[in-house]
Amino acid sequence: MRSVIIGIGNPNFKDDGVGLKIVEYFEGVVDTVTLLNIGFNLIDSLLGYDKAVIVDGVKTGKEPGSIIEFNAEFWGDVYASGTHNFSIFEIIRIGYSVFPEEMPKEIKIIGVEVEDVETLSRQCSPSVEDAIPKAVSKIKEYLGIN
Amino acid sequence: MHYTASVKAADAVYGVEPTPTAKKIRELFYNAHYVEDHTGILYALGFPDFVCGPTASPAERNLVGLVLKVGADVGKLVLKKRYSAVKIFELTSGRPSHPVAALPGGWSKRITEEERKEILACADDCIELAKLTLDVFDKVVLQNKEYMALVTGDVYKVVTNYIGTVDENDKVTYYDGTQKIVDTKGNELGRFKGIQYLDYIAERTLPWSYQKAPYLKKLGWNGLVDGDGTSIYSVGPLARFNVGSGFDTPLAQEAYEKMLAAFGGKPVHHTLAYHWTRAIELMHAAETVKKIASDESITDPNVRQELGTPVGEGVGIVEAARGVLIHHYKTDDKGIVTDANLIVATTHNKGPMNIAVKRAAQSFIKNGKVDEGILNLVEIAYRPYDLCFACSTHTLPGRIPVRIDIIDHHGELVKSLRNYELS
Repeated sequence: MRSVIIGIGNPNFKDDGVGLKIVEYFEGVVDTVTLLNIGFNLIDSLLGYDKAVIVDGVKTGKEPGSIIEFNAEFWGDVYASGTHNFSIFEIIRIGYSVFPEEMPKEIKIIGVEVEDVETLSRQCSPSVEDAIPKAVSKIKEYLGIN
Repeated sequence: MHYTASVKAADAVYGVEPTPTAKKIRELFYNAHYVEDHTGILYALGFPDFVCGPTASPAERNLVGLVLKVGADVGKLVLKKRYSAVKIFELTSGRPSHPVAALPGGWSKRITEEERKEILACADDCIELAKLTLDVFDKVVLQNKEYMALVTGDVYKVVTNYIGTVDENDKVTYYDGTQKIVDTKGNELGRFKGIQYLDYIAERTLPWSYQKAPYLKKLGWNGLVDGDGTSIYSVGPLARFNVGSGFDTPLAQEAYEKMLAAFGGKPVHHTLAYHWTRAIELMHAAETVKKIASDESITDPNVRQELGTPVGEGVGIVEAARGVLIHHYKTDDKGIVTDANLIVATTHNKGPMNIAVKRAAQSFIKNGKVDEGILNLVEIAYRPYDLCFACSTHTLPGRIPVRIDIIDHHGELVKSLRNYELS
């Protein structure tokens, strides 16, 4: 089974880099990809894999450092109304519509609730930093990595 | 786009010109990015309005809906061919996205002969993609009387001045050239390069917006109004069409002449024509990639100039996919930036976009009757500009929030529509 972990974010904007930091734990263990922003490049990164995990900082109003998991049931109901960029969910739906055979059978999105994505810093907020090992454990469990 | 504007500004900060080979590779890289960018905007954001219908619900009016209408095979072909542009991006800049090759005065990623041949093969894919795109546009929009009435009608029409970049033969170009200004009738108002932009563009701060409103300095601020005498201007694909005398590649020139004939001249002020010009430019960029990759001298190893002491100030201007992009840096004697000003396409287009939204609202909201379809009819008004708000907010579920408040003549709120849920 081929798996990929995709981290999304900008390492220079404090908590925005949390997805990239989490991906670092898996370099050399499974295939990893880092994206500063997303478009069709997300589909490029997903094609050919059986299982994929996408990790990103998110802002949903929960406590900073909370880990939120999204799956197909969630994104199946989301439509973008865009001007220039697309949401993760929209891109994944496009991928399944156009490449049903080549897209992963399973995709899980792990979101870490961010606190500050505006300060120029490579250090995450303490609460977000604390969430990193928890997110790593969840991904290991999901992908069956010891 | 910002990456290239930034390295051009860095060239200027060091007072150095990139080597001829580095310049060619940068231009190759830049045009490949145009192919990828225009493809995404057209298929994901522009075409669905026409293929799925202007008032279709967001659930249908997207690339998935487009694929359902035109067929999964077309969708697959588009995304696969588009990947060839991404491949060129990787071959010229070291990575498929987020390039790592720019240096002041040069470019760190050389191109081998094998890579050049691979780029040539990818360029053919890009040209095929452009042919397909012009064909889709022709079948879906140009052959549909109802849509053509929308494209050439007065609702989606904003009469402004235009700024775009041209080469020494007055043809449209993207990586480097001279910025040319024409008025609402197409008369030339001036040309500038680099720091001269300060003589032509002024930015006005508005009390109601975080965004400044640029205008033509020599005409003075006349407010956010269009029509003859306005001092606001537009940038982007339609502006380039209006400013340039055509394209320097055969298939793009052919498509340009077809559009010119359809409108019976220029400037064209119909904003939905932005999508048409975007499709033409997709062809132009693809042909330009092929032209540059056909030049064996791009494998020359001389890709970097020696750097001296920074001169302390530099301006880099490129024609980003969505319009003129200006990076202006001031630095200390070590080249560290101490002051920076960026004027991006979405800022240049602030005035035209506001007028476009107002016109659409005034046209579609009648007798207090509004419905959900109006949200999209207004979105259609600004979508051609491909406006770029920060992508880094990471707000789930990822929608662009749009709210329309209907206010009556007493100033009372009648109705509020939005495309998002309140948490």
